[in-house]
This record gives sequence, structure tokens and C-alpha cells, in this order.
Amino acid sequence: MISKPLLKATIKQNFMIFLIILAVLMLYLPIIIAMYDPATQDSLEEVLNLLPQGLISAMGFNNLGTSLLDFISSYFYGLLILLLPMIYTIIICNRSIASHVDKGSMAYLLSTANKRTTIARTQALFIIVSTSIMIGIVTLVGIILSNIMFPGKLDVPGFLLLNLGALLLYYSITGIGFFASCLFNDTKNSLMIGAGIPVAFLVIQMISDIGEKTSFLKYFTLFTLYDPSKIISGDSCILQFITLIIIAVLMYTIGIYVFDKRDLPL
Amino acid sequence: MSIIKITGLTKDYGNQKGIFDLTFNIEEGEIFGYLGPNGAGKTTTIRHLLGFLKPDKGGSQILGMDCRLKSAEIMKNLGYLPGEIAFFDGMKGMEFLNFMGEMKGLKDTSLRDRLVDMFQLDTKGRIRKIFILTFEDASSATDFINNSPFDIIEANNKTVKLGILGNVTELIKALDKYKVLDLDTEKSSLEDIFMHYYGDLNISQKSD
Repeated sequence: MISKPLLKATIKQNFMIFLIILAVLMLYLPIIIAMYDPATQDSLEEVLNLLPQGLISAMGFNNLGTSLLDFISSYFYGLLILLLPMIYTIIICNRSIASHVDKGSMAYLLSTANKRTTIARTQALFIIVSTSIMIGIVTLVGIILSNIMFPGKLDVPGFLLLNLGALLLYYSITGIGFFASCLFNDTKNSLMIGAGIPVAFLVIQMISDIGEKTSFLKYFTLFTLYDPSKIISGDSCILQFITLIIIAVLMYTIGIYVFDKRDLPL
Repeated sequence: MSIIKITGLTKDYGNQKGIFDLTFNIEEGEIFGYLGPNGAGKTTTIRHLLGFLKPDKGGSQILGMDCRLKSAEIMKNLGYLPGEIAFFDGMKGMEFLNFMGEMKGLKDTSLRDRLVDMFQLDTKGRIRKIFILTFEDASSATDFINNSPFDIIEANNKTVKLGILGNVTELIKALDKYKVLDLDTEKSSLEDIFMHYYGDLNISQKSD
């Protein structure tokens, strides 16, 4: 089903970039949690009011509620969680297939008795599992830190749901990246689609948040399906989550199929 | 028994490039040199044998199995030395050999160690930094470690000039193996290489 030696080699290949991105996330998370102070929330809001509303919205700081979860969700899950792990997933998606085809190392992988589908499945598994571990660590550390700094203040089920949504969003984004990696012969094109589309989605998301006039843009970005303020306010997000899962399953399945069937320039 | 069987193999890249209705067999025990000018379609043929390409018409078989559909199965009995060498960034020589051994499902490392010794390989250095000759040697070693019944070797001018094929031909003798050589090079560089030209090629399209 999968190739263990390849999985091992891929883990080793991407270990460093995983650690670096995780370290940056772990740098921001404690700072943001520590910044929470119910008493100063009001004065913070005053400061933010001095800034143009559009700028604040674009940064995802819309929902400045008073609970710890409100605070984390707007400061960490508004932009940082969309941006930082995305750098990691863009790199590993490109490395998974396209980079091997581009460099020619795919010829070595296929010269062993492993089917193309086995190679592709192994790489897909790595992307899915390592991304899950990254979001999982963020979730765990978020809960632990919150409970150390503000015991009992964090709405844990809400926080878990917030992270589940982020994870599902990443499944579909990496699905797009993986599909592009399977489809193209070179890193250049793989990145143009695999990095271009998620980054464009993010930029469109930021612009559509600015105000009424631009809000129609939300129909052109996948990130609309992940709305932190809605998730924590208890609105049903099952439909959005299911959509994200469907996109992910489709992209990964088609990616593996395309890679299995197409001509390789090795 | 025909080890390799190519029947009416056609891959049209347009502009009269590609291979057209190629038919020949390679028998067991044969050392086969596959020659032609640049663009004649030698590499395209090899890519079909390795299962990288889907033919427009016709097909190829190795050991009676369809090359495109059963490539993983075929690879159990086939060694392949790519013309270009590229691998995971930062892998060391021995890591690379171990990795390829594991990917091929090999438990016995005695042949590998013999080859490392024979090539006098520097297996401690990072592949990227090792001198190109060692790099190519490491690559040849990965091809030979599973001691498959026969191998496909792509060679180019660089490999010939660096004397790699000298080593390879020594190995062919030492291991008593059957080889298919794809020699992408000028005839003058080929004088030292022993090979047997099999005269039933049917390449209907030739460039240059």
C-alpha cells in the first residue's frame, strides 16, 4: 500500500522545514495567548479604532470579543494559521512528486519494484499526516498554555472545533498542491498552481474582508469555508467542513490517478 | 526465450519526432547495443521499456509482461541505471545505497559492500558534494546491488569519457550479467566498449 523506506526518506527530507515552521508558530502562540488580558481588552480596542477599519479587517482582526477564545481566534486563526503552515505545505507538496520528476530522481524511485500509485500514496500520506501533526501540536500547546496562563478560561470544545476547521482547510489546500505536483513535469508549473492558488485565495480573502464593496470576492476563495468567528460563535459549520473534506478527497484521488496514468519525462 | 519484445511500438511527438512501428526482440544471454544518431528515439524506446511512457500504438514486453502496466513487477527482475543522476538533497553516499536497497526490498548487503569496495566509493560524503565520478559510481552501484538478471544502462558522452562504462563493463564481466546499453554518444568514443550490435532494428525515422 505504501513504501516505508520512501516515507522515511521523505520525513528526513522535510524534517527541518517542519521544525522551522513549527518553531515560528510556537513563537507566536504563547505571545498571543499571553497578550490576552480581559482588563486591557478595551484599551486595545481603542488603539485599533485609531487604525482604518479596512486595514484591521484585512488582517482578520474583525471579531474582538472578550473571551480568550475570541481573542486567540482573531489574532492567531485570522491570519497566522492560514499563512505559516501554508509555507510548509506548499514546499512539501511540490517536493512530493513534481520535484522528483523535475530532478529525475523519480527514475530511481520507479526503478524499484514500487508502483506509481504506491509512491504517490506514500507522499500523500506524508503530507496529510505531517500537516495533521503540525496543527495537532498547535492545538495541544494552545490548550496547555491557556490553562497555565488563564486556568479554566479557554472554551476547549470551541478551540478544538476551530482547529478541526483549520485542519480540514489544510487538507483541501494540500489536495490542490498535491494534485498540481502530480500533474506537472517541473517545479515551476507545480508551484505556479500549487502555491499560486492558495496564495491567491488568501489575498482574495483579505481583500473581501475589507468591506461591503469587496465582500462579493468571498465567493472566489476557498478560505470562506473557514470562518473562525462563525465557528466559535456556535453557528453550524458542518456543511463547510463537509465541502472541505470532499474537495480534499477529490484532489488527492485525482492527483494519484493522473500521476499513475500520465507520461513521465524521465 | 525473448527477454525483451517490442512490437509495432509507436510514439508520435509530432514534427516526425518519436518512434514509429518499432519491432525487435532481445533474446536471453544477449548483450545488446542500441545505437542511433541524436533524436533517433533510443531514449524514447528505453522509456517505454521502463514504463514511463504510454505508447500511441503497439507495445513492449519484458519477461512476457506489458511494460506500461506491469512495470513494478518487471522492476523486480530489472536493473536500471539512469543517464542523469539526481537524488534527495543532502543524502550521504551510504544513505543513498541503503535507501535504494530498502526500496528494492533487499536484505543481503554483501554484494553492495563488495561493489563499494570494487569502486572504492566514498560513502560518507554527501552525494551533492562528492566528486562527480564517485557520484556516477554510487549510482551504478545502486543499479547493481540487487543483482537483477539483466539491466538497462543509459550512457552518455560524459559517462563514457569519465570511464564509468569501463567500470560497468568490468562489472558485467565480473557478475556475468546480461545488459542492454543505450549509448547516446559519438562512435569514436565507443571503440573501447565491447558490445554486440543486433541487426534487426527498424527505426523508420531518423534525424540529423
